[in-house]
Amino acid sequence: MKKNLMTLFAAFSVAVLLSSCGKVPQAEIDAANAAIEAAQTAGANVYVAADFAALQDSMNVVNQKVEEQNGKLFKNYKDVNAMLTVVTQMATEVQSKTEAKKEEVKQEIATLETEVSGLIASNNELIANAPKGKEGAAALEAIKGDNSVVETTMVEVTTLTASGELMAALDKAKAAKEKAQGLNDELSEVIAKYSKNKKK
Amino acid sequence: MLTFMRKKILFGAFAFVLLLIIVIAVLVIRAPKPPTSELKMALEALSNAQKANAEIYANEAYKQARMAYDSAMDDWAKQNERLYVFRDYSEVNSWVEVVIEKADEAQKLSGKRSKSTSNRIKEGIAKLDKKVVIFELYYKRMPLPQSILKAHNKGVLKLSETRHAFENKRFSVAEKHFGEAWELINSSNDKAEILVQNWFSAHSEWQKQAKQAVQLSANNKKVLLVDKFAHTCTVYQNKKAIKTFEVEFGKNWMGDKLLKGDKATPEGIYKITNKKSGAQTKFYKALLINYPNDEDRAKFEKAKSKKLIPSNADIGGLIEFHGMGGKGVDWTDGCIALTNNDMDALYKIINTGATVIIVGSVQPLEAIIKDSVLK
Repeated sequence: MKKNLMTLFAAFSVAVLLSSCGKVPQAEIDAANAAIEAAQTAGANVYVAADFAALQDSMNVVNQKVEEQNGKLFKNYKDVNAMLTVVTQMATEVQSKTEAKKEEVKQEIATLETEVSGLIASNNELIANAPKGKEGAAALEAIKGDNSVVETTMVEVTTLTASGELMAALDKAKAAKEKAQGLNDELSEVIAKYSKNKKK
Repeated sequence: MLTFMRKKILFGAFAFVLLLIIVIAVLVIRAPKPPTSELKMALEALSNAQKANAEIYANEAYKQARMAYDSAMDDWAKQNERLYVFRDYSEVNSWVEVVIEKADEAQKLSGKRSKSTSNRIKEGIAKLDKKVVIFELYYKRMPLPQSILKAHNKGVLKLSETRHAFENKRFSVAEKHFGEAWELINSSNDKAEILVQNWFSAHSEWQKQAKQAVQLSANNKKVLLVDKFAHTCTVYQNKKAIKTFEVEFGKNWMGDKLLKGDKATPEGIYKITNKKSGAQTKFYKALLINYPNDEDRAKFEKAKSKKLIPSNADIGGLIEFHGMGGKGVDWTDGCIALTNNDMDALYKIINTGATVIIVGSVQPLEAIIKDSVLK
């Protein structure tokens, strides 16, 4: 009889234990959310938007799993914990990928800055060496103005890069390069035409 | 007796616990189930809407879907805090329905809008490209104010930024750049067009003079017709164009000459008064015209009396056709420059006394713009 009583007590204890031992892994949830926020702060939603969206989707699934377990009598957060580990790791990877992408964009901007600076210098040199006198002045006045617009644009590129608006800076730098190259071609053409006709 | 009583109590306790377990089991089994699969579907619908850029193109519907999802999750959490028997997921279900409906709506709307935005930007870029070509072909060569040129240049850069953002499928950024490019390019083109249209208000007179040039070339006479807009000089003889040369003017060629130093080329009817070559000219060879004529003097005095020009202004002179042209730019002080080869040819066929008619443009402005668009 005593044995039966003990068995009954043990069964009841196990039931109570099972219903109360599964605790919400709040620390892990907070860590995952913090990692996602860090990735977003790094600019993941801009530079690796698809990866960041996938990360958010995964966290939403975890939140549903947490609630699913919350509603059960015998809670088990083992799967949730495993998923949270994956999400946290994924967030760290997305953040690293973001930093790498930003570095790549920065490098592209730096290359463009060098190229445009070279073109501006070349344009200024061509302007300086262009035919002097009234004909030269008239021809080059407009081009000088165009070249100064490119120079102003490159100052804007530097400002945008410094403030972290890398994609906007990249668009601007690409546009500036196109314009500077166009001016270089135009100047070379004007000077060549002038030299050719002067020889006659 | 005592043992029997103890057995009875124990049996009672056992039966109670068993009953309790059975009751709990029944309650758990029969308790309402949360709509987990529906919530998964809702999440999927939200994710699809986000992938379709609904946050940008269908923000209102997407925001409603997002809020409905948050409400569903909140309500689910609330229900989980209640006893099994008292749980009711009907509200969660209602929110889930809203999520799916709004997310689908946002996805469809976003698809349509992003496609139309993409098309609009694509078409807009093509339109602005044409306007830039027109500006580069015609207006850029004109003596326009710096503010117009600057706005045009900025617009070209913005258009280029639009193209880069568009190619990278960053449509919302492309749309923003496009708006700025549209404003800058259109305003510079419009302002340039107004200036040109004002100048072209004399077009009917120019057409009459151009016809006159053809008429005057009858009886073997040679007449020079200078078209400033086209930058050409055509020699007419016996009412036929026998030769056309490309020419260059002063940098303010658009408009009539009024005074010395305005770098404008005069418009009107003149005569060749002198032929120069060798040491007589520093521009290879030259054909001097009779600027200022009586009409020019009258115009000059009128401007002076209206105080449009300084009282000590000089009307200028020494306007001629000369060599050393072919620089591809308008560079003279108001003269008409040709390449030395062309100057040789012109010098050979034109004699003193030949009529020179200088007009703004033979073609009407509409035809010029239409031609450039077609090109």
